[in-house]
Amino acid sequence: MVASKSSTANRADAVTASQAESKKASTSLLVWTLRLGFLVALLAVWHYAVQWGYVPEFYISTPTKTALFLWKYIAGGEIFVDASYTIYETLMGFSIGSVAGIVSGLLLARFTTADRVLSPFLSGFNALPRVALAPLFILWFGIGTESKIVLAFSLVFFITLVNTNAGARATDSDIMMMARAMGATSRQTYLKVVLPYAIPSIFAGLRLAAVYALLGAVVGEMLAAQHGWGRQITYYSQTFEVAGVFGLLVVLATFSIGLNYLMVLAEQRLLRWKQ
Amino acid sequence: MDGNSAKAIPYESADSSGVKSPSAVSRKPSGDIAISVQNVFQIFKGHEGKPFTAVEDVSIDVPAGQFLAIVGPSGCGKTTVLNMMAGLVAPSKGQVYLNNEEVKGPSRSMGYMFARDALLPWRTARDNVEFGLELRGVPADARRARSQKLLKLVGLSKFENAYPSQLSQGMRQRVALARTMAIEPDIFLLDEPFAALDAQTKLQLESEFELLWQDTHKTAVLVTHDLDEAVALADRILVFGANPGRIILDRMTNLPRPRNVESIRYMPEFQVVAREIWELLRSK
Ligand SMILES: Nc1ncnc2c1ncn2[C@@H]1O[C@H](COP(=O)(O)OP(=O)(O)OP(=O)(O)O)[C@@H](O)[C@H]1O
Ligand SMILES: [Mg+2]
Repeated sequence: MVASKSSTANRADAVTASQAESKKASTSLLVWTLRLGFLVALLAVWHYAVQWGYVPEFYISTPTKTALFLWKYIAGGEIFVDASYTIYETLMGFSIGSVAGIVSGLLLARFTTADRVLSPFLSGFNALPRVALAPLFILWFGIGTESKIVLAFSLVFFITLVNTNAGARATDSDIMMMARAMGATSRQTYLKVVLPYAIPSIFAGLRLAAVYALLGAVVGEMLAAQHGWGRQITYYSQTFEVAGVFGLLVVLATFSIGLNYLMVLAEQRLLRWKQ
Repeated sequence: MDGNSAKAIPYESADSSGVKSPSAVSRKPSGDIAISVQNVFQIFKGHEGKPFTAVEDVSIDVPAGQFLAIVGPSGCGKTTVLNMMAGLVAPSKGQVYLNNEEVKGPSRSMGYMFARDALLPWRTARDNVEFGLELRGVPADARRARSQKLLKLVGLSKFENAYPSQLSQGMRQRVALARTMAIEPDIFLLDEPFAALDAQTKLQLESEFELLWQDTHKTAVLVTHDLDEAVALADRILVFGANPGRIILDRMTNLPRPRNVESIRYMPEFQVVAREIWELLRSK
């Protein structure tokens, strides 16, 4: 009697679950269709705005010309030369900056005196719009990749430092008390409680930092460089080739989304406990 | 446990002024006293800036193996006294001894548990149970053996790989209980460990704890708002009064052991003790 009841209940659960699943699948199909429709509408507005003479082609080019540019840019292999510069600068700035930022954030959370001494300076640097330092970095490090890496680093470093530090200080007070009552040494508390507790916040910082690393590299290239996506954007704007500018923006957005997606994947793997 | 452990405690003296109380005359407790709280004061910085006396001249001796319950109105200093026993908070005045050693900080022979489970969300149930063992450097296979045994005792074998977010409140509290038992403390300090649970789960966990405790007869101090829980589990009951926090009753229950936490509530002796304390609390 009880068994049969529970098996009915299970079956009922299974039915609703599969219904819910198919409902979810159909919703996402609908959503995807609508998204596609929205994209097509956007491109159509763009196309006809030029075609019917509302906006001069000189300002916004056309979808076809942009697609054509992208095709040539990719097929001609030019994209890979630029990519190798921009991606290199982004990844270097990101990795060095985030390692340095995380380590400093953790050290400052551990050594409170150092934190108290340094915190006004750090807030000062952090408040400074560091993109404004780009001309200086180019003066100091030249027009090669170094100046862009330094710019990306300066952005990434502070973002990860601030996030790591905040995460390492936010440990739940009940959990801290439990660890203390359990007889954890301060080293054990740090390694087994504070550090894991900070990881979600560190990841939030990393995701933001990845986008900013790309920003640093591109802005640096726009100011002075011989290669890279940023450099090409400047070049095409100065030569009034708007299709080229738009094409590069598409490339940048795609890369940025890909980068963010990788961060999300890594986060999901590491934070499986955080449903 | 010889029933006369309620020794003369000068708690009434605090009523005069408390300032010139004899807290300087501290003595090392004798052999079989597991916890000795001697003329302890706790003075906090109040919210209006003036000092606030949360605990005034409290002295308690808990013989080894005794199960002591502390009850009293909210804010009367129960948690504060427990935290001073645990070495989590230093007394403003007076001394606390655990196993004849003055408490200077948390001791590894004590197991502390409170109403919030404080599980580590990134650890599975089993890894949470093993937390204290890990801190003590117990090798992995021994840890595993003990955590499995304890999870079985609290009825969570099937959930050893579940994360806290996947467990109900009662299950999480059981994991916390298993974590406290895992380190096999000499002294249990429990601050409303079952308060966050529904009546049924609460009764179940109380019974589980009673069973685990009956095997070992470790010294235990239980702070609770639940009078029935206090009488059902403890050998001796302290009633605290508020403003300032102090002891207003110290009573042995003399209920039989081993006992069944559920059915003991229907014994006439139980009712007598519970009513006496209830009336005292209500008259305050
Ligand atoms: N860190 C603190 N700073 C200032 N005042 C405090 C602090 N901790 C506790 N108090 C005060 O001390 C008094 C006793 O607090 P305590 O937590 O010991 O009460 P309690 O008996 O455990 O109450 P409850 O039953 O509600 O848990 C309260 O009035 C509280 O406001
Ligand atoms: Mg309390």
